Amino acid sequence: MKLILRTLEVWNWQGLEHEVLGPFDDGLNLIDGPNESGKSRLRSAFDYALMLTHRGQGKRAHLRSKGSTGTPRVKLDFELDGVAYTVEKQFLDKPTSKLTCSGQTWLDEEALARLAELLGLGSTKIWSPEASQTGVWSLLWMRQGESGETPDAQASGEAATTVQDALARQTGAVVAGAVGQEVLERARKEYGRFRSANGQPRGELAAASTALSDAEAACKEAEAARTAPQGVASQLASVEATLEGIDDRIAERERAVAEAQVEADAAKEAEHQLRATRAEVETAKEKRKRLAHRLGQVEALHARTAELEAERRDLEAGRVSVAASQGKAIARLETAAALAEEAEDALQTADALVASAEAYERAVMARGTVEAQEQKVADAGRVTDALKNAEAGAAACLTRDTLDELDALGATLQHARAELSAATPPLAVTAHADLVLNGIALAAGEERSLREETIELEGLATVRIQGVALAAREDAVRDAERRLGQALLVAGVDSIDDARSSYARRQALESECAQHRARLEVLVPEGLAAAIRELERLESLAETLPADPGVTVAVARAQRKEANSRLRELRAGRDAARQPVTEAASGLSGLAARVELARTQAERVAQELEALPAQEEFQGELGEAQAELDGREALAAAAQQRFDAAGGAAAPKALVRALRAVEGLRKTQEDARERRASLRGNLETIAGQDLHARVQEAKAEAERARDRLDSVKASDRRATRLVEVLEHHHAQARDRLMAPIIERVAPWLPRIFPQSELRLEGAKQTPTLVTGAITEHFAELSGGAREQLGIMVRTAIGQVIAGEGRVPVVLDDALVNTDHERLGEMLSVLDEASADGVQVLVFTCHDVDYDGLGAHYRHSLDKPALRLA
Amino acid sequence: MTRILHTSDWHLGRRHARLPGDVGARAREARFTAVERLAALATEHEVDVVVVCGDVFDDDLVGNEVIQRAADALANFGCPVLLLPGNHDSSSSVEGALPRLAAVSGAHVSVFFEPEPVEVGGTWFHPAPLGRKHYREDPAAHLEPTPNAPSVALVHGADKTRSAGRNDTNVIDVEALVGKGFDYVALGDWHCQLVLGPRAAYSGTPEQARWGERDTGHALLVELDEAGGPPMLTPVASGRLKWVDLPWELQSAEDVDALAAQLAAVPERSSTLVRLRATGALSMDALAALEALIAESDTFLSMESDISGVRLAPTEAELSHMTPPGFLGDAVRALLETRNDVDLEALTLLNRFLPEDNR
Repeated sequence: MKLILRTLEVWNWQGLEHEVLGPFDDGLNLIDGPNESGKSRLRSAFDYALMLTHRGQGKRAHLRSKGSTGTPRVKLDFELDGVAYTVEKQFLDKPTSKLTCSGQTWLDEEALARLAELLGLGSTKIWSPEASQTGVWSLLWMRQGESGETPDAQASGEAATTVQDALARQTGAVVAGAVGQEVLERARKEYGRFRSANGQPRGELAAASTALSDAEAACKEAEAARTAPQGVASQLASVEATLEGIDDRIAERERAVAEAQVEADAAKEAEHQLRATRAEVETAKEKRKRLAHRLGQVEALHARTAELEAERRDLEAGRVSVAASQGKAIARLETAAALAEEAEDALQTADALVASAEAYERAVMARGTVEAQEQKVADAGRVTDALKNAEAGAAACLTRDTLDELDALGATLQHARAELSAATPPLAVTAHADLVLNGIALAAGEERSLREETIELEGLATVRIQGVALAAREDAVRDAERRLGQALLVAGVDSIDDARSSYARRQALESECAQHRARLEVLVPEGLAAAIRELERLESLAETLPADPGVTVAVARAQRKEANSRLRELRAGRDAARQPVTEAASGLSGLAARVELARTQAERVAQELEALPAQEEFQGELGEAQAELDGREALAAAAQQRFDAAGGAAAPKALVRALRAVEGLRKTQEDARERRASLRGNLETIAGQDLHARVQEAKAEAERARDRLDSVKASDRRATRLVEVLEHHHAQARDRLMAPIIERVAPWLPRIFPQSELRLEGAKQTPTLVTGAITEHFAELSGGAREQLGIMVRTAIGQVIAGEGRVPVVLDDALVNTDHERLGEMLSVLDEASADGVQVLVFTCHDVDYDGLGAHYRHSLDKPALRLA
Repeated sequence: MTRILHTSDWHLGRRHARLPGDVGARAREARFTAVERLAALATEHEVDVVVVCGDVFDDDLVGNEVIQRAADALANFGCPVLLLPGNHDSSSSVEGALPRLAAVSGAHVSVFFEPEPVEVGGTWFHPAPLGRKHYREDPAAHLEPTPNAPSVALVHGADKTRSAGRNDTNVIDVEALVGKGFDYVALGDWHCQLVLGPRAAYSGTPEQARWGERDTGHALLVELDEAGGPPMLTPVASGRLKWVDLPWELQSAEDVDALAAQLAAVPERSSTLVRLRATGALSMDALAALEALIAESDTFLSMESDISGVRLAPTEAELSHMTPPGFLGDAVRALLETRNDVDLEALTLLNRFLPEDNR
């Protein structure tokens, strides 16, 4: 097919009064303009011109410009397979279609029919440019916002057929078209009767399998029910056997009960007697026990009395012994105390001797050191005097601060003078002849420096010499001189140099003072006054020399140490002798208390003994009680023998057991009778239920279910195999068929999607990108990637449909989500496509971005002012 | 001379549950109508006594409505009817089928619960009733004929001479009974009518019970010779339903035609139950003809067909016509290439889905 759009012209078209596009080039065409400039309205005009019916009022009302009464019209020149056509359509007012070609004209329905025939449309009454109506053109002519949609989503059955026919022409492959689809769908439907999409049993297969399971279960149940009567009959026979002879067994057990009753009565009487004799034995035992207890109490009191007497005696003996020990200890204490007093006297004597020896020794030492101390004090006095003189001299000289102050004033003065000097202009007048200048006469050749002043050159000029604050600077000099003079006067010097000399002298004297002080530090580190006091003390000692005690201080001190040591020893001995005396006194006190306690306890025991009968009397009573107990126990033993002979405690138990046996048998008999009646009823009921029929029906149902399952399995096997084979060959045919599209996209793809491969998957051949192990279906791609891949695929489809010819691909702002770099690549793709089978018409509001397209035809729409409304 | 109507294996209460819907009900009812027909035959042939040699009921636990229906049918007999418990209705408990029947039947009906002989019209009947389903020993070994009187043994089981080497139960030494001097041994258990000798015979079931049985639907009219000679045995027809079993090998369209002719020749279609089990391999046309034949055979009482054993074997001519476009053609070639059963079945299915002009 070769379809070329040439010229589009509209009148009163949705706000566009009149607009002409074209003639378009066979290749790249660009229509740009800002928003609301009419691009999309002109884009839709192609649909109206070629495909949509001119009829209709309500559905076409939007075509008329608001507020306008003009009739919407569209005219399109195009070429189809080398033949030029012109189509004109008028809407709303006297709607009409007109197609002309080589002098031939078709009007209205004929025109629509002819157009449908030329463009391969399925209908002549197309109301809107929808995919289901406009066939393959909906794939190739994208409206605004459609570029990101899946190409297959817009492909109606007719469009798919058109594409497939075109592909089939190129590849020679045949997918079998509608027949193939129908057969495949029927096969899948047949498969769906038995299995789900993922191959799991469902539908008839699952139902047949379940039915067989249910039928087999019902069969087992029926067969089990069929055996029920045999079980019931068996139970009935067992019950009959139980009832047979049970009356005899009951009678025998009743006789046993009568015998057990007689034995139980006799045992009861014997037990009564046995209990009475046992009570009397217990009474006698209690009496004997009481007497034995009282006798024990008396014997215990006598024993306690003897114990207390022995204890008292032992305490008395102890007290005598302790008193004797105490006397001896007192004597030893007195001796030790006397020795300690003697030792204290000896220590006092030793102390006096030490004091005498020390006084004598100090006096002797003082006499030896008085002379040296005197020399020391004399030397120190001379140095002290020299120090005082030097300090006085230094004090009379200028200080550093004063000197610094004078230096600062001097510097200030010098600075002021320099300022003054600098302010004085370096101007001098040399008289060439005698003259008077400002009252000052100058002889010829005399030179005079000029200061700030005004010079009158008589009759000639007035020269004014103007210095810089000269008076102020002169005042500053004078002020500095005054302040320096005052400072010198205060300091007592005539000049700064004198001041420096005074300060140098002060420094020399201060150095001398330091030397004197160092000397004194060596001579009398304790100070001169202290040295004088020490001299006076030594002189006093030397004057009062005591008598020589005859021993040295060391000897006297040794003697005193010895006396002191002995005193400590004797004092310790005295303290040790005091301890036994104290302990003996304490022991005597404790023994006296214990003797008193023993005596008191003995008196109390004696009182208790007096209150009780005599021990012999108790012994007699105890013998009588024992004799009585022996007699009672003999009677009890006889009663026990009689009880045992009557069956003892087992007799009543035997009676109870016998009664229970009778009761149990009667219960068994009653239960068996009830059971027999029930079983008979059951058997009659079951026998009449036709359990045999139930078994037969269940077996038949199971067989039918088995046959049904076998049949369904066979059908499933058939359908599964058929779908498997059909799907396989369908996929192969589809791959062969779609190869041209993939081949055309292949060189473009790496520019936008490096390393990716295009696949067309599924029944609708949805574009899918495969990058390594990652598969991204069209809907999963980003908005930009979708529109880029979508345009590539649509353009490739256009090329396939064009075959050796050419078809238009129209893009209305189709790359709005594409970045600048990729846009450049996409423009390159469109350029290449335009060279091979595709006439490209691009509508865009991004005119600058599309400069790189290099469109052969370009038209820029004006601003929205065109909109009539 | 004593005239006896010898019958057995009524199997009243058999459900015929495999048969669809009303057909099963008709087969069930046919067993009772056969009994009613026997009553008419007894009257027609003026028999002195009717002996039923076992399996009156299909099971001991048939329902009470079956019992009552049997009693109603038995009421039509104008002579004594002697019933022998067989292995299907062997229980002797009061709740068993025969005891229940005896309780509701007329006085002319007798059930042999005990092996006690009875005399009817001068002839002694010696029963060997089965008290349980299976006997390892000969259940009739104890029978002895009545001295100096016509004696008939009534037994239910397998003839010993025809059970040799088989693990049968209830095996009866018929020759021994004849040797003991019984004038006639009336047997039940086998559904086909079979005369073992001059003095012993199986009467067979009066109404066929399933496909595969032969020589059924009859009773035996036994006429005892007073002089002690061999009895005269005359088969009398009693059955109505025809059970036609057709295991059919099909390899060509002619075989299908032959089958069609066979079916067309079957009389009394409304009383005939047909079972067709076809095997073989057919061309597409022949297979279509077979399917059409089966569809047209709905005038039989029942037509049970199984053609799953018939494989599709397209002829070269059919294959040359079978050229669907595109991948369908590829699929056809792939399925034909293997020629295995599943692929041929799949091809048959595909053929069904193809438009007429592509087949």
